[in-house]
Amino acid sequence: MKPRVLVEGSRRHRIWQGSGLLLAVLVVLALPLLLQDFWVGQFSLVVAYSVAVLGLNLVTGFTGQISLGHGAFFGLGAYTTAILVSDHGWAWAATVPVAALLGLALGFAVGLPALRLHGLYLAVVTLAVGVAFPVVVSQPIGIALGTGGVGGKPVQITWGKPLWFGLNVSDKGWTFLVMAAVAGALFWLATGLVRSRTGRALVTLRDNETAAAISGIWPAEVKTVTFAISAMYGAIGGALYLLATPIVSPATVGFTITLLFITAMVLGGAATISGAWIGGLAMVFLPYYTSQWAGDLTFLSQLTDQPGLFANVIYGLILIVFIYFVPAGLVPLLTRLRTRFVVIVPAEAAPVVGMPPGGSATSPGEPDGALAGPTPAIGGPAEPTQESGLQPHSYPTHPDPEHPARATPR
Amino acid sequence: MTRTTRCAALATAGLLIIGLAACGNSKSSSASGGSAGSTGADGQFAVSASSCPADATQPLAAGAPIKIGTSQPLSGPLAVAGAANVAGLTAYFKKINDAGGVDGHQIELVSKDDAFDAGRATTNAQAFTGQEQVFATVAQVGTPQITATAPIYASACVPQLWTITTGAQFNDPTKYPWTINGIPPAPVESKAIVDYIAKKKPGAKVVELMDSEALAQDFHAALPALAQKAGLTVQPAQTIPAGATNIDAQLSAAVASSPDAIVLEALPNYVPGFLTGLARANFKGLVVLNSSANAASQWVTPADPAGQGAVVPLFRKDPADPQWADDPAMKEYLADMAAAGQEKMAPLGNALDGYGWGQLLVQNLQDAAKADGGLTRANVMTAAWNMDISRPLMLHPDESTNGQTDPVIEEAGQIGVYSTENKGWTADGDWDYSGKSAELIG
Amino acid sequence: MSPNAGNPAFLLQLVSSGLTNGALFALVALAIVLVYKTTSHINLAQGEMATLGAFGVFELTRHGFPVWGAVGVALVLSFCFGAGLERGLIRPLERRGVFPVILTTLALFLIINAVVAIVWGTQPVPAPRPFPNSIQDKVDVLAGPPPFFITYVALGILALLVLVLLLLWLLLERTKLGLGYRAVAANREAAAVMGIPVGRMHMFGWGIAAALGTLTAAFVAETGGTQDFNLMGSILIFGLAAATLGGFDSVPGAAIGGLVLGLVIAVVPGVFTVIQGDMSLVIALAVMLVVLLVRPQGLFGTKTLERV
Repeated sequence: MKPRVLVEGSRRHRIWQGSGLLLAVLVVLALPLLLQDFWVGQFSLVVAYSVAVLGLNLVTGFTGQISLGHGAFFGLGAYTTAILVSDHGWAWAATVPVAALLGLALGFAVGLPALRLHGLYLAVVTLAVGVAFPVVVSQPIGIALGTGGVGGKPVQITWGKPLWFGLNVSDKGWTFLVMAAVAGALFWLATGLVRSRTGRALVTLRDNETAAAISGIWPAEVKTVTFAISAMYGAIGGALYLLATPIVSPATVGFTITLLFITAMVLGGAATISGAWIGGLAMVFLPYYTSQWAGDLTFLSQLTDQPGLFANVIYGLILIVFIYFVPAGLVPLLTRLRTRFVVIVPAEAAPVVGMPPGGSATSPGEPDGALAGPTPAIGGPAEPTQESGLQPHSYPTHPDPEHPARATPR
Repeated sequence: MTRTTRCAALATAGLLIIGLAACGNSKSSSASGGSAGSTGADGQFAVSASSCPADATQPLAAGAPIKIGTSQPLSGPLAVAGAANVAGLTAYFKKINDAGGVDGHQIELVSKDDAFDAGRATTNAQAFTGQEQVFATVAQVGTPQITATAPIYASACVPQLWTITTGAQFNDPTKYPWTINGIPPAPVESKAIVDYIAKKKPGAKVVELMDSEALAQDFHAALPALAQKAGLTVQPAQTIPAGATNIDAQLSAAVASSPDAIVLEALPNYVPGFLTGLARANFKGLVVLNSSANAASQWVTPADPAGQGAVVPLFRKDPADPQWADDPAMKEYLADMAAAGQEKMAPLGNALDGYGWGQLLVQNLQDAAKADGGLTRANVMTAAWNMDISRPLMLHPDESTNGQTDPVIEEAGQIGVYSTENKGWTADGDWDYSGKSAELIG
Repeated sequence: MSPNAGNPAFLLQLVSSGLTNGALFALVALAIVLVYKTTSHINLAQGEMATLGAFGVFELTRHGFPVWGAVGVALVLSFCFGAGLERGLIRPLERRGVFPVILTTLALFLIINAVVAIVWGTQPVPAPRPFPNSIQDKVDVLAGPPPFFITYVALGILALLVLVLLLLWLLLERTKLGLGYRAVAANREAAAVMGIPVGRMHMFGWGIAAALGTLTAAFVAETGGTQDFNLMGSILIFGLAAATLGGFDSVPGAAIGGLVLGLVIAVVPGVFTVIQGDMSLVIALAVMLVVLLVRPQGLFGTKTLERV
């Protein structure tokens, strides 16, 4: 079946994008209308985690900086919101900018060593930060700041659905919708960042730092800024988390959640924006279902008296399988599937494929989602991920015969 | 869209959203929700069901099973405790079900894993009060988990019975009417320790050795004050660092000032090193453990003979202790565990604890069935606050609660002294704060 | 300032327990360094592999093996396991760079940790005792209070560290295998051109590291008295800090880094009691950060030159 070709920037493409967006909005609105409160709560968690994973995608997938301490940023945001709301009576919305700023600050602080370190050294430093954060929180110094120590910090944030809102959702549903709106805005910002000049700088830095430096990108600036932005996203994710869970404790924001964030990033697609959503879904539903499923299988319960442990084994196996066979994550797979039906072609290629160039030639951006090509950070063969199903009748000199997907950045 | 336009649009959107959130009647309270209770004219504390959903006061349909939910750490570091709890509960419920259930209803246990994580405990609580529609829950472990889930159960008016925490704040029916704690809170146990030290050596100098867990924080919040009231001197506490392979430095600092008693406020993993270290340092004072170390065969015997004379407050019989081999209640417990296929877990103290929670719960159900209105959730909760039960597996079998005046069920026990000869505890005096625990908690 | 700061016995005890702790950090750091030197990878599953080895020792002693025999068998098995992991799981990802390998070691961390808990349960079990560990097994130096004594276990661990360093030195400097290992560590491409089997050197590095890890875990367990599936969980980060301090590609650096770190963590909070609570991890982190900012190659590491 011949896939339909859309020229990027053309009206058809805009309609495609628009309908995609509309579909997403409808799904988000439908969730609190159709589901019980329990599931709405679960999806609220998905939203919070997705924002945090997006931060990790930005720093590791797009910029190639290894960050093994993302839980610390997440925890920083969560604790900031918790302390401000519980102890000082702030409204949740007011705590978000504070959490974001603190995240930025910590990200800068962590990013500074990144100037001189790379690869493994950075991994070790971020690992140490991630491990140290819950420890500091539970020490007297943390308790003095109001973290509540080992017992955790409870927060009660309940919103009533405003009267002017027409749809019949519960209070939890309303909270979910606000969270989704905030997350949507953040994702939109991230998409813009990635498609902008800064975004291209990130990718260039990841792929070849020397070439980037020669081209006029200041690696130090880019690295620190990316760490800061990633930490900001993590912190905002932490603030959102408290809308879904009424407590934050040191155990929740330690190495375990960092591992989960990393797994989520790999699952969804490290160098993608939309992969963060899949990562968030995985973070919430995978352990829930694996521990349920592992508990139900009787032969497993005979093997051990704690069948819940199998969830971790499954997690590790999934991680290994993905690293080996699907290193770019699920989103590129799904995109490739989509290209069987619809292919989006950059405006310059339009005459090649026999289509009139439509739309504005001045709108830049990647043709397919927010992909920045296969990510060497996770590795995998540098295979073009789109347009492989296309058979144009004449193919004159193509800018880069081997890597059509990684054609000149525009 | 250029970057500036995008940023401007984002800022506008951001302000809009914040405005929406603010207008959306956002209120944040740190008080626990749910209905409070009150002590009636007859002196009986009753849980108020006025702001409860209707089903809180509706009796269970005839023949319907009583669904009891429990959220346990079934994976992660405390997985052993979680699995053993479930084993004990399962065995006792099976025993009751085989005898016809409670008031004609069979008991159905639904257990979920929370991996000792507050977030997952919250998810489980939402499931239990949401689609699972459990009748009551039992045996929630861990301070953060209970802090997170108590409001959820309170607003759904689902009894959260017999939690497992040393935190004193959860023994308060005015603050947490729908949550009742099952083990002695840290102030009660601290008082037992302090009174014993004062008895053995009046005016003694006491040092605490703590780790960074919630148990240590709870004890450290209570013990120094109680010790001073008993005329003891409290010296600066020593903290065990997280990555330490040995605690020699902390022990050295602890014995440096020649204290008369050293109290270990930490998880039992540190007990063998603690006992051996003190024996090596020729410490001649009192060595006091906390009740989490009551499984002598597991924690104290490996350090033999260093544990000779170590002291611990006990409140229940240890199934692995040979001195109870002929005890009729213990034999019944073991038989019930075997009947439910749980022999492997039977020697674990946590399993006996689970069995004990089952006993309490079933008594609550039976009391509620006889009360006005029948087997409703509100009646079950009220029954829990007004209990009178005899549990022979406890060292002091007769236990009771009485609303605000006596919110703690287990407030009596014995002091056990370890004997290398018997490889177990010998009793050296009782402690009994029945009716007084409310003052201790303060 | 601690009230005991002037007490010589107390200070000596701090130094002694710091060195014992540090020796264990050093052994963990050695394992990390041995893997890093040849492969330029950090094995984050090092701790869990070590725990697995310690449980191997436990299982063998439970079936009647004499303790040191069990340790020996466990060492051999760990060597094979480490080498096998490198060959089977890590080698195919070599060409993909640093991050996939780190991710794989993280996945291994999860899996091995869960497997140990599944097979041996989550309950702590009494640790086997290679060194005599009863109350009298100590050398009394100063009478109390507080007394200063050195346990045989502590002496044994320090002696073990020296022995391990000696054996490693002999192995790396005096054998052909060690020469090949060092060649690959110095310059992988040149070594490959010279005909040294680079893959086998990698396997060797991983195998030795795994064996060292098992040895370490056995003694961490003995020092603490019990072992469970989280035995090496908190010590890994200290091993990493020690390796950072000493230099990731320096064997003597790992040893010295470990000892210094252990000393600092014991002495600083012990003397300056204004540092409340448990700040040992923060101190380790601070040390790590300072080293990385001031002298990234560590005390004894080689500065890497990036050729553009």
